[in-house]
Amino acid sequence: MIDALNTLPHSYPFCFIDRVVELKKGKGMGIKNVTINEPFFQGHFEENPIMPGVLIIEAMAQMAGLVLHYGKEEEKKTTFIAQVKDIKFKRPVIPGDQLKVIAETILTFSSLTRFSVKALVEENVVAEGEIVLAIESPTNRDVSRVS
Amino acid sequence: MDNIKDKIKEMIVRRLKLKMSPQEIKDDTPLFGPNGLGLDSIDVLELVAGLQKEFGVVINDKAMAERILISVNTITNFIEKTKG
Repeated sequence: MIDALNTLPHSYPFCFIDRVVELKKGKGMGIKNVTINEPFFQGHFEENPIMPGVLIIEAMAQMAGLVLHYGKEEEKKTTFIAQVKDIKFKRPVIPGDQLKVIAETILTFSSLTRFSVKALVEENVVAEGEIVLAIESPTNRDVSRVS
Repeated sequence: MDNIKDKIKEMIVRRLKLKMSPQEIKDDTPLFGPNGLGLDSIDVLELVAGLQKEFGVVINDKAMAERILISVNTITNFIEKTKG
């Protein structure tokens, strides 16, 4: 089993993929179990807990990161979000939901890779769109110049 | 061949959501830099995708992009050369 905790640089409380279910070149699927104990539910919102949309984006970006680094375990390069494109949120994610997170490569050019991303709960799409990830090169940390 | 240039300009404005009309882009307007359209590297990815999907030409790497993505003129030359 692929361990997201050891593959991604993220750690508690910012790891949004609990388990990688499928991972191959260009595509991957993982799950995130959303519990009532998530720290963000304390304020979002006290009376009406809803998973923040930006954290669903984060989960999809982490899944994209796993796809990006698949087969390149030896390289531990930092990856940044370069673009979040046309993301739609279709229904709220609440405690008890299991997020199924899917990322698929569309195009790689230079240090940038575009992914089609999707998050589902019980086969219903809760969010979908595109994310571009940029791999950091040691000599250049300016995202506007990465390619 | 002006038709191809108009199509490229339309593709650039549409895909990059530029707040200008395609006619405002001259054939030799630099795509990058303060004296041109001021595009950035993330726009390059979009242009590469657009040229591939809509014009059937592939730009493989950064060196190629630097040679081709200079202006509408240079893109036109590349498309004409590639497609004969």
